[in-house]
Amino acid sequence: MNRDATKGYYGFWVYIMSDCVLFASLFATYAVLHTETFNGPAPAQLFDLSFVLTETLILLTSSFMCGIAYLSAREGKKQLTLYALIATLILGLSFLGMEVSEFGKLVASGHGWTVSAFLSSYFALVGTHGLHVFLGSLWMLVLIGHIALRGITDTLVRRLAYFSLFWHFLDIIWIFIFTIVYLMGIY
Amino acid sequence: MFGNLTVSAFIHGPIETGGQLAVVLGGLTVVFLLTYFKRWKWLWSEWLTSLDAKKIGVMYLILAGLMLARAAIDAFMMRGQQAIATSADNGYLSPDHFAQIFTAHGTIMIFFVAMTFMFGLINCVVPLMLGTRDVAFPLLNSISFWLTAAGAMLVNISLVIGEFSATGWLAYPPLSELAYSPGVGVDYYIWALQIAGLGTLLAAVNFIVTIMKERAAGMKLMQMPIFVWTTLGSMLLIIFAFPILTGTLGMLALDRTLGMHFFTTDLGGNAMMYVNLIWAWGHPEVYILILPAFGIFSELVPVFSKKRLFGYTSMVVATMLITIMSFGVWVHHFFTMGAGANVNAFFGIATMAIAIPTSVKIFNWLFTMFRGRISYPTPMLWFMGFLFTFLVGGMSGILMSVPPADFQLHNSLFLVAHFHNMVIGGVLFGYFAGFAYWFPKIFGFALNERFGVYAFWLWIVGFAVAFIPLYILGIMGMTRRLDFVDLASGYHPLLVVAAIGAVIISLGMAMQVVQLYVSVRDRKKHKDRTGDFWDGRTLEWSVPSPAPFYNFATLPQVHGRDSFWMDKQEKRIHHETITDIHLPKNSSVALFVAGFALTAGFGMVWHIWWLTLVALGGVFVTIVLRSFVEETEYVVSAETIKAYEAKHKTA
Amino acid sequence: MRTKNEELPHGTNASYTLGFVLSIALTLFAFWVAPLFGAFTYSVFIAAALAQLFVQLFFFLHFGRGADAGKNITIAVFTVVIIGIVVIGTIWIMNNLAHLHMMPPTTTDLYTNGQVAPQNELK
Repeated sequence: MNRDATKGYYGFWVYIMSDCVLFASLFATYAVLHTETFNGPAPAQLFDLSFVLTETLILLTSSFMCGIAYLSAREGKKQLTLYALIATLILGLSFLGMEVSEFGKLVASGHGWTVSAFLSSYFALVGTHGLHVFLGSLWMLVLIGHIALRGITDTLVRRLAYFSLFWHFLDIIWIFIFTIVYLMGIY
Repeated sequence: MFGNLTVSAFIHGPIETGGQLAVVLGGLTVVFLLTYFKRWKWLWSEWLTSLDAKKIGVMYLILAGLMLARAAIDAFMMRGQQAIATSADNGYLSPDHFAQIFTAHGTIMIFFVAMTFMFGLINCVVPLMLGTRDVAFPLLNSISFWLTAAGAMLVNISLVIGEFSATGWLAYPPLSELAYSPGVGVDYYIWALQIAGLGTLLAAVNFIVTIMKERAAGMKLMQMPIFVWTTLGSMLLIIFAFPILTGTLGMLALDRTLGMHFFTTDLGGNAMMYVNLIWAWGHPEVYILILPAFGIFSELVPVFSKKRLFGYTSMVVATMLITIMSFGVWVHHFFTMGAGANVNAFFGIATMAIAIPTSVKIFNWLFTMFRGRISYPTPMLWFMGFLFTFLVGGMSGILMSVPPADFQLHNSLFLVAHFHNMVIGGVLFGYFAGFAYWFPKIFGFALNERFGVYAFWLWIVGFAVAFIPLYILGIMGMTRRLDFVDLASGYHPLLVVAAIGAVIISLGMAMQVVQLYVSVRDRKKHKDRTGDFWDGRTLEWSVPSPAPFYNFATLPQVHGRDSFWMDKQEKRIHHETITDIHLPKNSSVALFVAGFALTAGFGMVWHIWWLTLVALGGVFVTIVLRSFVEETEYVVSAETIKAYEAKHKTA
Repeated sequence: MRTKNEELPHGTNASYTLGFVLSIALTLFAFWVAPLFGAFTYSVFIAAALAQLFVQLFFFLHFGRGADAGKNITIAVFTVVIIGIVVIGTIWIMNNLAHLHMMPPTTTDLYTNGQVAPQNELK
């Protein structure tokens, strides 16, 4: 049996393509429903641009750290890989924390997901992205466990390659979210 | 503690209780037989934990057969009700029960019969056709099957605990929203499909990678069998379409569970957005089903015409065109929803256009047969049946692709007849043909021809008697999904004829069961001793029947299209050295993942949140534990292979 | 034949850093500079987003490199086409329903027009 690393990489890429279509359906729904505010506040009143900019920079940095982790792993540098991966995780969780607090504020001020179709589609789109970040964080925990227990193995490098695909792709989805939902919502 | 689950969920009316008992007693019988014959260990290690695509394929086929029986009974109940009932009071099914039956019928047939049958054949055949030992990701393959089985289980559990959805197989809102379907039925539907859908998506990834990266040495893309090309097209469609289903059903679940407003009638929801999205998935779905059936015909028509397939390149182009164009026609499912003339005209024309590559395929098969030496064993009979029925169904589709005509025929029995024409005449006949064609390869002995012929004729006559009346009734104006029509309508004579057609089909199914029994009974007399039962053209016929667990003693070298046929004509013999190989060890990971998924789904249905969380945790723990396993393969020594080859020598 | 990790696409420290810097620059541009373009702001948003998409595709996802670059590109192109059809098609269709008023007014419209009272709002 071939145990070719490129087989898994291509397979994971194909899966990422399907995940893109999932987000596309959520974006399409947002596009159709975002005007249905039921006379509630428009995006401009609900979103805080500097908050979103901070989130974006955090996510970008975590993506960069992920790249460092992958490169270090390829070179067999266990410590550097661990540090970079932990940094990626911390940044990812910070992003999530900010997003959860943003969601919490909206719900507490009476702008939860039950209020209108616009808010439902907003929470679903951004929330699905956040769910993916959460699952990626769980994945990182497992990877960190693997590195701590087994060190850098060929298998670990392969799995880090798949994880990098996933994590970078989440950054790309976020580009579209901050552009379409936040920037275009406010301006 | 148990969410919304109470004892009353277990109590049903008389007919449902009958179904309940059938499911429960059937399950208990299987458990009893396994215990009595001491076959649990065998079942576990030979089948349930196997990562061999051929075994997984057979399990898919068994699941498909069981679900076909279940959904067919639903169909017979519907035909019976419509034939008998002349007013609201004198049918034997209540309106709600009737609604659950037509919903279950459609849902099960599409997701758990057609998709499952398709993956069964693909698993049994495609790796062999490609000249490789297994799929790219064997464990993922097992997970895909067991997730599908978990989805099927959830639907069947709804028969015993609670109720099923009564919204039709696509669960349109607002009916499927909490306000109008407050029970658990729609939730069962949603979660069964989400779980099974994930399995399907992962299987599609698996086969795309297998086809693109695991082919035998020398097999270029344009030398692959057409069945592989159509499988590739179907798998690509799954990658692009199924996420839309996941997203849309997910949004419906968010509406029902978290009080969101995607498709509700208030606070800005838009039910028509659901219809739009679900058909953006739904139309590619029917092409997902039909493409492999087309591929099967492209395999067996050349074999039974003793002639090379006509127009290989145009077949490939047609396949890829159908794949892409299937994404451009979905509005034809809701011409009447109120879009303007521009939209309807565009999609109407696109729908007509997609008939062109399909016609190319049909002409290619006809030209293949022309001046061939044609024989008509059962697989070829199913093809001939397809040829006539699918053409009629396709033409009725062209009729409805004209929006003004569709305004008359939408949601009438004409529509019902059309899509059953396509699904039975196209998909089912195609898979029956494939089953008959590859049965000797999969099981090592012949399928009884005589009962196969009886089954075919009963099916095609039954189909005609059951569905031609429905075409006529549709034109006369009868709507679909009615649990009764007044005697004054004049519809009853044709409904009675349709019911007779259903009986004839049931006889055809009975013949298929008899066929299986007789074939198994006589299996020693009708062993496939050569591996090449039909004098085939493609690589799966170059190995003994049933195929060895390692598929090929040495991986084949391919020199062109129909490589095996060429080798036979030129009497080329391969003399490669047999070496040790690695095969995947059995694994119970898939069973645990699917079991936890089923539990999580059940928890979602009944709002037993702690159960769902624990079960999802179980999935996570299973995957993490598996990730620490290093020895996932075992070695098959060259001696073992040589001994096996000697014992099962092909003539 | 065990893993062939060498064949996996990868970058270098330099390329990741360059990608990172470019992405930050494009992000800041989108947040701070783009809004100054007046009527063209939306187009600039899209352009910046697409530019950052390509930066991340090439510098982070190594698009176009590695043993299966051709296959990856092919399926990515297919995906983009399909997403285009589904998203643009959806917007066209739903817009058609709404603007031709063949769809009944949404409850938002009714509320705005004073035909539906606030007490219809659900918790």
